[in-house]
Amino acid sequence: MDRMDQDRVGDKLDPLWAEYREACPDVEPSAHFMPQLWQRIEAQRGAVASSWFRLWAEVWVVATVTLAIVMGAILIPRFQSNPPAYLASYVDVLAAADSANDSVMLPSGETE
Amino acid sequence: MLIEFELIEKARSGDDGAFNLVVKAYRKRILGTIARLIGRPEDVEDVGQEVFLRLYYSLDQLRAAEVFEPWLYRLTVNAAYDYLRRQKRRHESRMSDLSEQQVMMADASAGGKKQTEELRRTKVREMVHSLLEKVSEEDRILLMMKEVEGLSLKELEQIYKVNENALKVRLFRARQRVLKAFEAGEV
Repeated sequence: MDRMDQDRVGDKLDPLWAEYREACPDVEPSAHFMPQLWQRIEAQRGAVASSWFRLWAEVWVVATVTLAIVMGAILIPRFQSNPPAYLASYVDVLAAADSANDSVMLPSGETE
Repeated sequence: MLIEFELIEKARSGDDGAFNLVVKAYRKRILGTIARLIGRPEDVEDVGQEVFLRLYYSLDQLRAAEVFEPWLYRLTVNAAYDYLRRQKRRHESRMSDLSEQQVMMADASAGGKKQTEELRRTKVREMVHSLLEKVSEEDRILLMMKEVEGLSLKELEQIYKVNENALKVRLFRARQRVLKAFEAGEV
């Protein structure tokens, strides 16, 4: 790029830029500028907080469901493979105990 | 710098009072820059608030207080550019609206000398806006930042994250295009 060319372009346009700068001065803000800005900041803060809360809630729901599935997958087969502690009913157990007592109390050959 | 680095540091650490002072120090300058970039007085405050809103939520990403001004100008350029793109999508003719409004402003100003002065300013504004229509939106903003806002190439380098030579070439081409239109009297 030629230095002379740059200067030529600059020389001709510089006064125009200066005039334009003077024709467009800085803007004085209105009285509402600062209150509205803080309203927007607060609104954004609220939106950010609620989106974080939503994200946390979603994470907790997913974690809870995953934990429930994992616990189910581990515990259900374990319960299914172990035999139940009591196979007989209460009446059966009593009858068995009673017959055992009879054999102890009554010697063989004796009847009531 | 219009403010002390210490104030920026305070604002960066979450001090809302310090942030308020930062905004108060820069708002007039930033609103002026936005007005020249977008050319629609009625939307200047809205875009200005967008700039400071983005500043508030990005201050923690600022590397050092020394680069605060280029950072703020970068946010300003981006917000103005976003605004202009939105306007383009709405198919609004920026120049015709602006001219109409400026003519109205000129009409409204009372007194002969004052009116003449306002008309001259309106003419200058319209002429520069028409000349700048000869270059792309990006180059128009770049030219404005260099020639009207008076930023140095070093500052532009920090704003645009482009090396100085690339900026020089881009500026030279944009200036040439504008000069060509100026000399041809295309305005």
